[in-house]
Amino acid sequence: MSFLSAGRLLNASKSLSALTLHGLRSQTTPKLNFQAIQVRTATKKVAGSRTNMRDSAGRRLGAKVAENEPVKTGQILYRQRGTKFYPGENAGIGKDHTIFALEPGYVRFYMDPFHPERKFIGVALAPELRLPTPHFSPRVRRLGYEEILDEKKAAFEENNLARKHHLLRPTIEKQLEQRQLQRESVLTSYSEQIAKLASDLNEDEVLLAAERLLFIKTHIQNGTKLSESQAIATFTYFQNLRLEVQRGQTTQEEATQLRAEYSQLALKVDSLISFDNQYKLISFITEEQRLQKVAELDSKLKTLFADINKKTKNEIKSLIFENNLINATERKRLISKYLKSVLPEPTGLTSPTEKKASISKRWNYEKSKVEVVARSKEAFPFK
Amino acid sequence: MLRSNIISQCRRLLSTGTTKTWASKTTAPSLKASTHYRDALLDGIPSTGPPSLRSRKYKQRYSSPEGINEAFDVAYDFLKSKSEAAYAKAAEAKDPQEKAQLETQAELHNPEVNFNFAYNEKLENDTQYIDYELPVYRELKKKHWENYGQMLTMQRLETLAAIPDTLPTLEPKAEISLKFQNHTGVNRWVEAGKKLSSNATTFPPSVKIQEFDALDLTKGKYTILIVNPDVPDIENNTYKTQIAWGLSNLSITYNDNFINPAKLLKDEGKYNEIISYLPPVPEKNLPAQRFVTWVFRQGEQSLDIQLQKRDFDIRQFVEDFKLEAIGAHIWRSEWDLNVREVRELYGLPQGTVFAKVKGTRRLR
Amino acid sequence: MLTQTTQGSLKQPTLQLLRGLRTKSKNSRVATVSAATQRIITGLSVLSGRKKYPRILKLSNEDLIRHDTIQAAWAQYQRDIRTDRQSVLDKQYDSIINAMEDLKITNMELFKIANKKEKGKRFPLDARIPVDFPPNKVWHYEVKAPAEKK
Repeated sequence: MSFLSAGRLLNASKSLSALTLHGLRSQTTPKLNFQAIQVRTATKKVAGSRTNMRDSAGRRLGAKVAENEPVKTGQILYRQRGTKFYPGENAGIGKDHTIFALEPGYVRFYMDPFHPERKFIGVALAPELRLPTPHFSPRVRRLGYEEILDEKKAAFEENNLARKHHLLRPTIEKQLEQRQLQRESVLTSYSEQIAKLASDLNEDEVLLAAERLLFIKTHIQNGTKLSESQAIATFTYFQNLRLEVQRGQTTQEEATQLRAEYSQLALKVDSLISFDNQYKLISFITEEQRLQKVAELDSKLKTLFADINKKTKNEIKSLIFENNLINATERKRLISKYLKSVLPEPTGLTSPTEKKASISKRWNYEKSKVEVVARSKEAFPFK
Repeated sequence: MLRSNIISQCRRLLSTGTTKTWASKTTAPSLKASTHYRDALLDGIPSTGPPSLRSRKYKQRYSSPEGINEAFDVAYDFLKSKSEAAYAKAAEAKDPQEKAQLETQAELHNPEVNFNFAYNEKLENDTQYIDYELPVYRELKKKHWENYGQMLTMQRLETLAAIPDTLPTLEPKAEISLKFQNHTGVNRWVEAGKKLSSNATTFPPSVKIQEFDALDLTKGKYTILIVNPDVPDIENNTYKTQIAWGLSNLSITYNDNFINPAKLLKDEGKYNEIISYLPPVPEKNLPAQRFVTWVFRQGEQSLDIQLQKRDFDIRQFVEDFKLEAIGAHIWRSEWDLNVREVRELYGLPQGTVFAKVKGTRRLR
Repeated sequence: MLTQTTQGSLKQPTLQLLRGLRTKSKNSRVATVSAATQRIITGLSVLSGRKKYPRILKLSNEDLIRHDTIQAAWAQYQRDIRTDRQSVLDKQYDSIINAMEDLKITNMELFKIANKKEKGKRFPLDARIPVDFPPNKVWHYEVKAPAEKK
């Protein structure tokens, strides 16, 4: 009863005070041309503040190890929000910026003059080492691997390839086999050709020369200069001889003799044999001689081209395509020069009214308009 | 303007070649552009189109920017007068460095030189077009190298920690390029830091040393050291450095500077092999090994040392013989199936198979 | 928060206090633009990048080198002018310094007066700059401002 009445009394006094307040405000504020409606909101904090009771439990951040403490690989050194500390030597950082050890060692909290604003946590590999390691001195590194001493296990591990390599292995082996077969066929064909070109070589020498020429061929095919390729062949042979001595398969004296013999042979082979454009062997020809022959071919083609018809066209074709001395660029040049389906402009230009004239339209860039071009039969020598 | 254009066109058609000549004091062929392009370069694009364009269609379509011919003529004469002044100064200069600098200045804006340099092979240079004996081409090449090659090599050396694992630091002065000219027939320059197969590296690499500074190369000699700082040292649970190859007393010129089989055979007896080549034979399951090629100027001294042991302290060696590092290159090698054959070829014992240490075995 | 509403009275706008009403974009970094500007932005975003810029001049190898030569010549010419001007200025500066040194030795009083800081005193803006060829007619008295249109 008393409680109820007390509540009523309180309400009444509240409304009174509100009235008086309202009256006071209407006296002091200037007149506005709109009516303000006071929306009364709850003043009693019934449900508490928006931010009240919403704090999470502590995230247990901070250092997990002390300076100089021995740690294992992967051990967490520091938990943090953001990078209060940066990972130093032999330490890594996780996606939530947790710093952890990458190597077993001793923890160091340190500063680095290269990053004066940053603090680092690192792992020194030995107790006496200080971090950071001096800038110009070599890194201290731990191997972290050990030998597999069990032979069976070691053999298994050695053959244990990554899936990608394991799957690729049979194809590679097959390709190698094919290459070897191809190599052998080229070697036999080279041997036969050498026997014809340099008849005073014995069987072993012929084989050696064939190997040398095949070696040179692979190099010049890949764009190495001929003289350089020859040197590489000789150098590799000498290296192999040296290794034979090292392995104890040949004595030093034998090796010196073999070396001299090979030098002689190389000199002979290089001065007797050249390659044609199909990498077949031909008798030796210098670059000047080759260029001269190409020039001769060019002049011959020119005379043929002067009175061109279907017959001469075939002759030109055979001259260009069956020549074994011109290289790809020279061949391309000759084709564009002498095997044209349409001759260059002044030849065969006629008026469009001419009968049997071939008519085409094209854009003239100088005059900026379409022009009609009529060419007579003369312009198309092979039609 | 139209009239002058027509007149110049007529002159162009009538004349057999350009009348423009630079103030060059030498008759080096590389100071002239090839005759195929020269007239178009110095007198303007002919009516048939630019010679550098291959296709006739594009030649016909091409038109030069308006007024370029007149502006070029003025610019050419202006720069030529500057060049003459620089050559006159160079003739009086006594210091070879200063002289080279003035000669560079005199030729640096020669359009023919710039044309030759821009559109010809720069690394495997043909002296007909790019002759590094001339200081101007060295300067152009240096700029070209600094723009990309130098930065790339330095970045690879630093990120792969070749610096400071082998030598403390490097102030690059020469361009070092590397290629393996051996039984594989592959003809390709190795990009710094690339992983190479054990087959490719069976025989020693060829190293190109391109100097840019004005030096007396007839006296100065060069040393090449290839070191591997990743040899496992099982006993101490760490890595050690071994030398893979070493050459000294090498002499080069600005153009003939490729230390390859051809040069080594030609100069046999003139250079010193510090230690024979040991190819990369990386161990199974270990991380890739780095092979760092260091090139040094050894000055006029002769370095006739021969090493017996592979274990090597490169810092000590460089200090002992007062070598000046001018450039470096790096390649990496990982275990592959061919390593066994390389070991057999070089008579080496069978490789070790490693496994990662589990647990906490510390370094010390 | 005060918000104008048409509720309550039809004629008189009323203010209603509302709590938690958002009037600004959540992302304050996004600038609000006018509808016209937005239309242009949308139009440009539809175009491909290539069409927004003029095409690059395609020069043949020869013309590119010729162009570079012209650029080099122009840069050299400008550099020459700059160095000439700088050398003249350097000479003038040196001669001022020398003159002042002489003055210091000969008469300290005069030196002090010559080097006195005159705060606020400037070269008059309407003063005529001395030139090599002054105009014969110094002032155009007859010039009048054009009559303003009404």
